[in-house]
Amino acid sequence: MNMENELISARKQLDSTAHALIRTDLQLRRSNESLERQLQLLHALHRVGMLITSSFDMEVILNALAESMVRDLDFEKSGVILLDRQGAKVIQSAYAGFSAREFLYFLDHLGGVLNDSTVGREEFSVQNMTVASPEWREFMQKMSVESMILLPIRIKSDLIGLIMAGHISAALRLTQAERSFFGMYAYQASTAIENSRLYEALGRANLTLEENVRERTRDLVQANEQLKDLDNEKSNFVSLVSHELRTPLTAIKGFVATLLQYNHDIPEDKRLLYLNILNSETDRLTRLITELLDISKIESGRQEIVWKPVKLPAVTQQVFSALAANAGNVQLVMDFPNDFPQINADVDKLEQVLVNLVSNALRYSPPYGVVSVRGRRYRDGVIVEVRDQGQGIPFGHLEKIFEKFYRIDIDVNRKNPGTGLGLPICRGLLNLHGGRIWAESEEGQGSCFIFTLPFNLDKGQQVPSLKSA
Amino acid sequence: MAVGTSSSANVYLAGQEAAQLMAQQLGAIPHLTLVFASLRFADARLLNGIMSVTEGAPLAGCTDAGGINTSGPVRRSVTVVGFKIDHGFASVGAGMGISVDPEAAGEELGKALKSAGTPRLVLMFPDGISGSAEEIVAGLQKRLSPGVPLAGAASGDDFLFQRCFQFCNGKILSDAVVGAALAGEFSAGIGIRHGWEPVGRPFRVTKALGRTVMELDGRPAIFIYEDYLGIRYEDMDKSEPFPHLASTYPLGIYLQGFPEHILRQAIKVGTDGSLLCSAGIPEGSEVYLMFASRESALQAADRAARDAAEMAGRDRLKGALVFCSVGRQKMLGSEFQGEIDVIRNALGGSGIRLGGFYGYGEHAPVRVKQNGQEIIKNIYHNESVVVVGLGG
Repeated sequence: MNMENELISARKQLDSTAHALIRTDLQLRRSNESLERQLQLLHALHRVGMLITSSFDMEVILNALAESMVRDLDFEKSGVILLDRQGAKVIQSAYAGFSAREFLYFLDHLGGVLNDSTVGREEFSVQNMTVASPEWREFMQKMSVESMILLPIRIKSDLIGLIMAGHISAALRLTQAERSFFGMYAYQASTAIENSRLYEALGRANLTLEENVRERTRDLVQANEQLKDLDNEKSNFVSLVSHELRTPLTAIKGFVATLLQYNHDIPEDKRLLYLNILNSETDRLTRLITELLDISKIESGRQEIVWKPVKLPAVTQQVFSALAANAGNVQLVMDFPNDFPQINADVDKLEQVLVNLVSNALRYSPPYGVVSVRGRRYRDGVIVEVRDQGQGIPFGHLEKIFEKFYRIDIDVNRKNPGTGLGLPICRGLLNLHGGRIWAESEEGQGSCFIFTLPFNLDKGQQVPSLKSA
Repeated sequence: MAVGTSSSANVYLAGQEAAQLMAQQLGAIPHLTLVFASLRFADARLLNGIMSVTEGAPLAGCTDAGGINTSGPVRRSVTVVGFKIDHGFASVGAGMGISVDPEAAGEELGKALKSAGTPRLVLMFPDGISGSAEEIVAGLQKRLSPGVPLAGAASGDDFLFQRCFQFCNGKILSDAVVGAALAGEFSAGIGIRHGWEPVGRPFRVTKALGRTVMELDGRPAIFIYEDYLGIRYEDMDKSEPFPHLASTYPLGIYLQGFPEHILRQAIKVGTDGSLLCSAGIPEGSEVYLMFASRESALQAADRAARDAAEMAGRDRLKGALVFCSVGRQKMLGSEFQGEIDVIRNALGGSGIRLGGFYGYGEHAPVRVKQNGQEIIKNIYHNESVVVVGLGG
């Protein structure tokens, strides 16, 4: 009986040891499994980290993320989407395990997913078929998953994408370690995506910079060419001005010297002639200097325009009156309609233009010819023609006459030397008003100088330069 | 025999890649293809990818809870094993509806496999969740000669215990048993061991029906787990699914003549506390809660591999199919790679090609005593490792 009791007691003790053994083993095994799972997750994180940080190619990154969810993290299906800056539209995606049809369904119904407050707010969202809302259940059924995890990818607080992964036949229960892991995983993904975006932006900025440098270099080359042209122009101008100044000065010097040396030997009539020549050359010199100052002001942009309403017919009448003495037997005719409009302009400058054009017309007009000034209105302003009946301007010179000091080598010019600055000044002044001037002529048929003036020139706008007019 | 593996994210490409690696190693188009794949590959595109390489060679296989190739265990991948058979044939077949009538499904499979001739070896891969494996074997044996060895393993689903799939030629099946028959000039040897030992006191099965054990020692069967693990059943699923626990601590029944207890895994608990097991445990038998250490499990793997190599003939051995219980993977933890190393070493080292998978139950013939006589019996096992050594 004692032995039987001892046996029973021994068996009980053995059984009790077995209980302790199993329970200890279970605890050890669970701890071990937990450690191994954490190692697996760390390995997965390391692996995907290596893959996604070794590339700036967004496609490579998204594919690596999608594939890592099924390869390393035990999901059967996964998808990754990248949203635009507003977080509203899918701009890129990748998937693994899903059929194309299932993933398209996901993309089509993404709006509902994104609007879900849990996805918008939480670090991740887990959905299990058995406890999901009817909407989520339908969503998961269509994608043939039993459970899923949604990891929003954020940069700061902005939603820039989403990783979604699902099990086709199992519920998803996350341990605390797994929760932390998925937070890190999403962070890793967001860092890689942000790096890729920055890299892309940097590439774009580099391209823009290169383009800017090329553009600036082009501008500099162009500006340099312009400077060279201007330098040439300046040299030519100085040479021309010297020449033009020397002509009257030479005449003045010659006659003054003659008068000084032979004062008493010169008959009265010749002395008078010499003094008239001196007077005329001095006037020419004065005119030349005035016009040089005018052209200089216009070209340097220092010419000021005093805007006022101007009645052009009245200005023309004044000009005619002033030049009537020079007209001789040439008839001055003006033709403006009654409703000819007023325009905003600098009255003195327009008078200067008309004096120049009408003087020229008178100079080239044959005896008993007619010089007419005709004005009319057109859609955006007024147009004025100054016509003479002179010998006309050869076609090849029609534009050149607006260049400084350009004169056609004809008898009239030789007999009536001008400064060669009148027409460039006219063009300059009209350009400052936003107008244009050009000449039309046929040899032997007279010339017509036409200028336009706009109604509504924006005073602030840059007026065309002399060259581009 | 040759083996190829792929874990490509693209299902079709994974099939194609694994098959290409296998065909390259084999140096020819195989006569038979076995496919073991993770759950995510249960897709017709996988089989299309494989068959685009194997030119439609007979194909059988299933989803698994991890693959095995020559270098060791692989996860989340597809493993393709190809065979070139001299002077013989290979055929594949399937039996459907094992949850409704497993015996009829087994018979259907046997009929299909025998249509090409009498096989020397039959490999079978039933659904690991539905149906009684023992009844399938009974049905299958009705059609096959009694001496034909059956080896294989039940399909897995990545340890989720939800739904498994089987592959037969281009078809993806479920609730089915698929198989392959091989005949020709080759040698084969089969070894089976587990390494689990009984712990604690024995329990008498006082009420059982088919695969369900209702009572042990007159109490609801779940009591054995509640008592030893110190966890109430209601709380068990909170930490990990019950089948995971039960695979580490299976039930063992004594079988006369076999050097180890036969293991049975509980896969579901009924509302009345009954245990639905992977195969039947007869009423009146004595069961133990079983326990294994890593060392005993690795020793068992070594023993199984040596048995297989000796039976097939060491000189002729070219490769081996390895069917491992997912419970072993779980129990061995990070050392489950070591088990395949042990098997490879026991078979002869690095020149031996390996292919197989981790599943939910194993099939292998064992030598048992029946009515005083020693006989070979095809038996369903749990938590075991089956090594099928194959020689030229």
